[in-house]
Amino acid sequence: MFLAGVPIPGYTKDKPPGNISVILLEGGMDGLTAVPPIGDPNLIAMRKTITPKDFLKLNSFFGLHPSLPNFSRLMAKNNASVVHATSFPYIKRSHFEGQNLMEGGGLSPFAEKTGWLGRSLDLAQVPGKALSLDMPLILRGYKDNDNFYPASIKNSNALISNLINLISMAHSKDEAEIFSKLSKKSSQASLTPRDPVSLAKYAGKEMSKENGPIASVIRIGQFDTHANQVSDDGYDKNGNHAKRLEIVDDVIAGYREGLGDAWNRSIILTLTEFGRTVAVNGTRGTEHGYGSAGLLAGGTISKSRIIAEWPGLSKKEQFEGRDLMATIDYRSVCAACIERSLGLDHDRIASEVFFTPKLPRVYDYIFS
Amino acid sequence: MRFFSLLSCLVSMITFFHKTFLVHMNGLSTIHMQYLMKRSIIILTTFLSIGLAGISYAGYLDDWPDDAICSWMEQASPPEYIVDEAIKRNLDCVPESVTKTTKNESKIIIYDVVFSQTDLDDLLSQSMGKTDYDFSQYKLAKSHNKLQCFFRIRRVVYENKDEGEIEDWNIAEGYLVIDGGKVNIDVNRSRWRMSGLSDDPSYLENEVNLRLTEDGHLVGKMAYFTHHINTGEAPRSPFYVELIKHKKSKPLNYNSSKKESAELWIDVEEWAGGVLLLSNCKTK
Repeated sequence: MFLAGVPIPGYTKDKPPGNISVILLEGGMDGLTAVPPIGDPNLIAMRKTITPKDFLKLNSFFGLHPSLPNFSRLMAKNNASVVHATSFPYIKRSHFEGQNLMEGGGLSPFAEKTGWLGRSLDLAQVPGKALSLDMPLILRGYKDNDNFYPASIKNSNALISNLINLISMAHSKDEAEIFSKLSKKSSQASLTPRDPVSLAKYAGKEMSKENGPIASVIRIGQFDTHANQVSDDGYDKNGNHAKRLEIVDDVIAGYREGLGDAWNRSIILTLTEFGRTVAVNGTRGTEHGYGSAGLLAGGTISKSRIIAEWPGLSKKEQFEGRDLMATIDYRSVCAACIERSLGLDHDRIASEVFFTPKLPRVYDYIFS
Repeated sequence: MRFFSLLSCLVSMITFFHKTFLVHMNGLSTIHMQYLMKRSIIILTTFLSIGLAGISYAGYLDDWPDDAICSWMEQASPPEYIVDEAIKRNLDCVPESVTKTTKNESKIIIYDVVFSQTDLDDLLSQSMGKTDYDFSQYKLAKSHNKLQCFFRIRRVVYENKDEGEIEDWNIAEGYLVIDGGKVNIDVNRSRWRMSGLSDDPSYLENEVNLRLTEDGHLVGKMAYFTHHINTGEAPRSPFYVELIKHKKSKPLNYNSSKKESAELWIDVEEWAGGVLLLSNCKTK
């Protein structure tokens, strides 16, 4: 988990109007399972065995997976939306490249040394503090960002403690200082568990404080469901993918609880490197694909909706005859969330954060 | 680039006329003048060719194979004319979203969320707690004497035997009271023994949502600690397990006048589960 964007008195121009939280869904989240387009006649034809039976009907065309009960409640309160058939501009289906691209926010993988959220914080002049031992790519982009991880490892194993001290002593000057800093940080006791839900609650609480952080990032892995995406007992919530969605749902609920009144100025969005194939494979799973869905939640959303330029699921409508086509550039969605939370102008975000001056503005679709 | 080509042409023309002018001024021979003019024409033609070639990228890029265009597309920020050319050729290396971005042909539709009234009422009435549970699938015991039981939770390991082995130490223990079908833990006399966050009594007080069914099972959800945390280790949050009418369970005969016991099995993880043992259950 990473927290960033602590406004520094006397440095920050104006306090940004909101805060932004990003949930990275690593492995490739299946948007067609999370938010099944039940009105598309090809859905059941193509994926009868993995489409949830007990979905919540959102309207005549879309449903919601039963493992997202908290997200459902937020939708009922007009505080959550979905952007469907969307992706970052990446079509090669590699986790490493895709994850790098979704954090870097460039046009191609490994092209950017900084991340889109870090560049945004830099533009907003809000230096931050990341809660991790290293600075995650998505937050890189501002030299004054610092980091800290809420872990207490020193007392758990004397060897680790001694090792850090020895490494520290073996170096001089800057390196010694860094190891000494690491040693000091690692010995600080923490009562914050490291699981995503607890971290979300903690992050929410921190962000709700006056002069608290503006941005946070949480990773949830293991969405790469090549096998057993659904269980063989026919129970929607028992599959591997359903269990991951349940964590996403709990993380969003954790944020909701931690943020308290700050919820009203918050936006949470999920990111995934790609979607999955439309067709099911021989092991009740799916392969790496292209288009997926993004989940958005927060008090800054005033009307729940599904936002899509639906491409269809017939063979000829699929990307390369196998994947859900992405018709919305997800960078536009990120840009809209930055615009809402950091108060930056879309054109600046498009050209200086995503290096794409012609990036469409989808702000009104989400926040109007 | 186009600008620089045209600028080069202009510079070469100026140079040419400037030199011609200087020749006249210095009174050089006609042969020398002709030589200078020829040289200048060659230079001018060269610059003009370069300049004209630069005027149209379409023609310039026509000779480029698709692979070359795509290799440019893999760069950090490919030049706009390369992106345009790749889109024009409909190359696979152009992400669809980039095509849309460039063409600006958005046909986004907003699909309003329209819950049925029943779903909406249901969703709005629910809280977002981790132990929320829908008990409507069970017939709950309501009219019964208030009961007090000693309880123990033990780990069941499935590593060696398919049916599982119950370990002989308690991961949690204490007293619970069942009143009107609802289970309340006596927090002052109960505890988890896994250290870390489990030392916080609020997990037993606020995060146990269990009910007694008519046939003597306890069902619902509760916080459940599986790992012992040593001093200084990073804490771990509990699981939130669902107690169901497990096929291995031996339910509680709660209407008996004798001291009764029960064995209620819990599915937790694939490698290990748990069992909630009730004993000395008597009317309070």
